[in-house]
Amino acid sequence: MSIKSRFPKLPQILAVYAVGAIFIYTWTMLWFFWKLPSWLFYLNLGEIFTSLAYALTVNLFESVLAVLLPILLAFVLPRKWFLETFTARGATLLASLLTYTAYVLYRFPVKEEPPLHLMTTRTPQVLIATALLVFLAGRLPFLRKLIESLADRAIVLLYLFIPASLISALVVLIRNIL
Amino acid sequence: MTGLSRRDFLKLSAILPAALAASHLTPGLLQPPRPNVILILFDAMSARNLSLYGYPRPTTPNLQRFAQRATVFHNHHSAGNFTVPGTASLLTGLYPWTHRAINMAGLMKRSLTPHNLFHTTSSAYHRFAFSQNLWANHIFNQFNQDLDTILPPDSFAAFSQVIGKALPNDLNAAYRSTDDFLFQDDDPPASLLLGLSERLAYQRSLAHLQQQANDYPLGLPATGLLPIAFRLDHLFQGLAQTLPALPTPFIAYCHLWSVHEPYRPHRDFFDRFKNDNFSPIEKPRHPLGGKNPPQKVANRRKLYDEYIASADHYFGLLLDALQNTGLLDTSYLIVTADHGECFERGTLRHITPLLFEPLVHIPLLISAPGQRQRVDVHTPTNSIDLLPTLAALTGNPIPDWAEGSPLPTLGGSPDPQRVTFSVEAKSNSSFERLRKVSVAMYKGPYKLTYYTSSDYNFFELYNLETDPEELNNLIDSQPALAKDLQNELLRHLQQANAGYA
Repeated sequence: MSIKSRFPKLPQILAVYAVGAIFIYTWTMLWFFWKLPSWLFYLNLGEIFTSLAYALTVNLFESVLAVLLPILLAFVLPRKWFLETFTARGATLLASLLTYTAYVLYRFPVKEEPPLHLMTTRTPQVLIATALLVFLAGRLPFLRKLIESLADRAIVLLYLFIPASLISALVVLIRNIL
Repeated sequence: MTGLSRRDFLKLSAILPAALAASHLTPGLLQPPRPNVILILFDAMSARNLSLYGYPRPTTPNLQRFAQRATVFHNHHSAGNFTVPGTASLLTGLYPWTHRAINMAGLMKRSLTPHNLFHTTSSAYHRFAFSQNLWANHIFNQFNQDLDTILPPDSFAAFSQVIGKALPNDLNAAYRSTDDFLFQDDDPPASLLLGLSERLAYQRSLAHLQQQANDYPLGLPATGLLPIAFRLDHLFQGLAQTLPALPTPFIAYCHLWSVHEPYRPHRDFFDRFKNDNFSPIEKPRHPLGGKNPPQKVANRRKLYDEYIASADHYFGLLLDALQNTGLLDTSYLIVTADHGECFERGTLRHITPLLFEPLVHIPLLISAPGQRQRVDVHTPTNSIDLLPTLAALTGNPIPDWAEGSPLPTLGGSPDPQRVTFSVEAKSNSSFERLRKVSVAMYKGPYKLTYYTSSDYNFFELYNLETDPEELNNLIDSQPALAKDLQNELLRHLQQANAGYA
């Protein structure tokens, strides 16, 4: 069995990537629009779009980083556990973990207030719940089809996210070279 | 008396062209050397809490020592009540309603960026800037064309996790987008995945560091806008080593986070003022002020005073170091603040529309090269006066756009009819006319404050000579004077708003 066969197919990866990207980009856009009214007080449009460009560049990097986790699991776990139901289980895994991350960050907005206590008490519970959800996502045909269907539809957003991020990365690059 | 002989005349004629040529080749030998300028700015240092200015707690013995060889300005006010307008006015010589850096993290009007202290100072100077305060960085990064060296805000830090400094070609956008957005403090970071990692790394490092820093009972001093923790001794030692190494002549602007909150005094000063029987004058709450209970206000004041005493101690060591290197004999040393801090009327800190004296009365001490005598100036001055003063002291013309005047005894003279302002307008768009604004106007002994918005509109008038604690509002008892001053203030505000929609 070749190494290549241990990896999911590109359409599957794209579907899972799209689910992760939705969480990552949406979170950033929420805080972008949260900041926007105050930015409009003292920044011009060019300066605001520059900040957005930096954010979208980082989002691209984050989303690629995020999708590596389910790919790694697909590679190391038995095929039946993850690879064969990669889209459903990978998308569920990312959605669950990224939702928890957003919860932790929302609860602890101040850097010096450590969420470590929360993370040490809640994280085992969240990981168990995530494992259960991931298991069910591959096990229950209805749930599996629903998640796969949603993940497939999420791919359409990549036509927005990826070009915007690539243009943003170019803007950031030019601003830092020139 | 004998006249000039023909032989002497011929000798002089032969020497004259050589002397003229030498004067062009070696101008430095014939002109006095240009003085350096060192400006040390303590963030949020209210003159009202300094024993230098008569505060009962002994907070500043070293500033008092420095005052023995400096000009001490007793009635100096910041043009703004928080970092952005206060710093921008100091660096531009313009009022906040002109430069428009009025918002939290705000920037100056783009067309006015050449109007700054560094541009005004001749390019013969090496121009250096360092700020631990991100918002001050935003402003002087706007002047980066006029700066030769900008030290990153985490220079001399014990620990930092500043990201924007990694992109020096795009500093303002980089700081704003990363440290003030993607990895911001006080609000959740806009970066979901890296934001969490950055936070966990920060907390882990900080916890480790705090365990070692047992000489700071409340934790290491830290900056609020950037993840920087620092030790006061390292900070001042760093400056003491950096300043003498700068190419001369230089102008160095050093904006220190201390004594801004969080107030974290050194162990030697922590609880120094506990049970010292000092009780400040009780003042009534203000309709636009806070509702903090008196005990909380008193506790915060005590910590603030102890933090001032800590910073003053290390300033004393810096002063000694500058003395030992001889820099004090070749430099103007300026100590000031960007704004004050409030511990009265139920109000804490400085994020408030109020403009009472603790918020805008700031220290100003200027020691001329080699000065040995103390000079006291009691006439009202404003932070916008530093730019024209420094322009004159460094041999440059005073720009016609400057709204300030050279300081008395340093090129200027007292003007009893002069009017100066402090402005708070953070709730307005910097691109529009000011609608929700507080303006304090100083004229002679009087201070007229105007608070206006869609919800309120009122004036307060105080005589600072007879009522320095601002307890007796004269607005009703002196109607004629109040009316004249009101008209004058409103005229200035109208002029400031002209041209804005």
